[in-house]
Amino acid sequence: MKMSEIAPPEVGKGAARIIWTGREEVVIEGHNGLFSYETKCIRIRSKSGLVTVSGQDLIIDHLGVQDLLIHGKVEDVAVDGETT
Amino acid sequence: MKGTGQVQFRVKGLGVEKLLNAARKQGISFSRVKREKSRSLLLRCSSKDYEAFSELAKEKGFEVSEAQPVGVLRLEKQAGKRIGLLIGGLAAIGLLIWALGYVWEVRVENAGAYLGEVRSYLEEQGIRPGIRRASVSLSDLRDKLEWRLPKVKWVRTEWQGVSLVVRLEEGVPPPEAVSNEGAGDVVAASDGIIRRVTTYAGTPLVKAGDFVKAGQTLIRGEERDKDGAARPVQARGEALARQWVSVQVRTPVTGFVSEPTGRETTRRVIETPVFTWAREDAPDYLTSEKSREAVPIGGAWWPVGLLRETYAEVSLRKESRDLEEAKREGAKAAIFALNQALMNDETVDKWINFSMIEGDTITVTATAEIIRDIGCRP
Repeated sequence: MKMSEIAPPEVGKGAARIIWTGREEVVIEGHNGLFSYETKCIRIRSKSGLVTVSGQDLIIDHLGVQDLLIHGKVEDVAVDGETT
Repeated sequence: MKGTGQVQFRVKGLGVEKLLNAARKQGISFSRVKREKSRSLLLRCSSKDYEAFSELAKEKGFEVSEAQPVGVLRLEKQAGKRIGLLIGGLAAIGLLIWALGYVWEVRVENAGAYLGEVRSYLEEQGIRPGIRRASVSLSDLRDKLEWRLPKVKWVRTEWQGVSLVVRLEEGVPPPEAVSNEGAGDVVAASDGIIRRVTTYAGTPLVKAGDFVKAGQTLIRGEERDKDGAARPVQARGEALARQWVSVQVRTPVTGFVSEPTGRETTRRVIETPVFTWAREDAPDYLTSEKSREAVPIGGAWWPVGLLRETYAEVSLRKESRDLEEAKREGAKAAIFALNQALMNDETVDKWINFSMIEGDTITVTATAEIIRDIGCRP
């Protein structure tokens, strides 16, 4: 089952849903594409704004049409510069 | 790339993120996207999407490396290159499955006196190594063996890998019922000197210090009423008596000493697990001492050896042993035999006696004084 199949209704309306689990995993559902990718910072476009995931050794474990899974030592997640 | 599964490749170019977004719009998903250098990414996608992605990348001026299969696809590709290994592996698995369908060992455990009978029954039924496992019904075999061996308490039949194991548990016959009904005496089971008699029912006929012989009545099955009339009862009680148990062993006081005569013969022998061959016969010395020196031929894994046998002729001379050493040896053996005979009796004392030298031996007698309940039902 894809993550998009289990995404909540608000995802279909364009709102991004960000799930930050522990310090190692961030899931972004309903994204609009990758803006930039570096091992210390990943920026993702979404209708809610630009989502910035900062940390160390970041990799994109899954880049799907609607969902995105980031692994690594996640230190911060921010939307348009506003820390979540 | 044929088949399904994931492939891994490298994309080089400026702004690879834009390429990924364009691919995403075409419905292509990626996994394990990892930044290698500022202008290159290592990533994976489905093998069926790779062609489309590759076309798109070329169209947009990006460089895409050749796809390397990963996971199951990689195994498939490797197996395709090593067709012999694949066939061999499959053949080995097939052979193993085939072999597991047969009985390779029939083991009978704990059968005791019934071992021969069980084996002959299995043979009659054709249950032997090499038969098909499916042709053996464990429950049928168990039932038939239990019916055939009524004295056996139970039979267990089971598979242990490719072995058929038949395990028997012999029944223990119940002790003979001792009748507690009717009058009866307590008599001495063996000779002894009475130390104490404890009477629970009946009339004691012996007292401490009496010497009694086997079969003598110790407690009579009779009691007297208040009016003096005799009434038969079942005598019960304990009669502890002193007894002496002795065992004897004989130990030699002479031994043979060998002396080389100076004659010596050496021969070479080839030894295999199946046969032994020597060019020369062994010398016909009346008595000799043989020493062997083994030289392996062809290393440790080849079970053929060359032996160098040396026969030294010796003459035997009878010589007296050290008497004290012979006595010590005899005493040790006698005490061991005595302990075996005593079982759990209460021991008061133990001692050893040595006889004079008779012929070439001395007799060692170990004796123990014990306390034992000698009362029993006749």
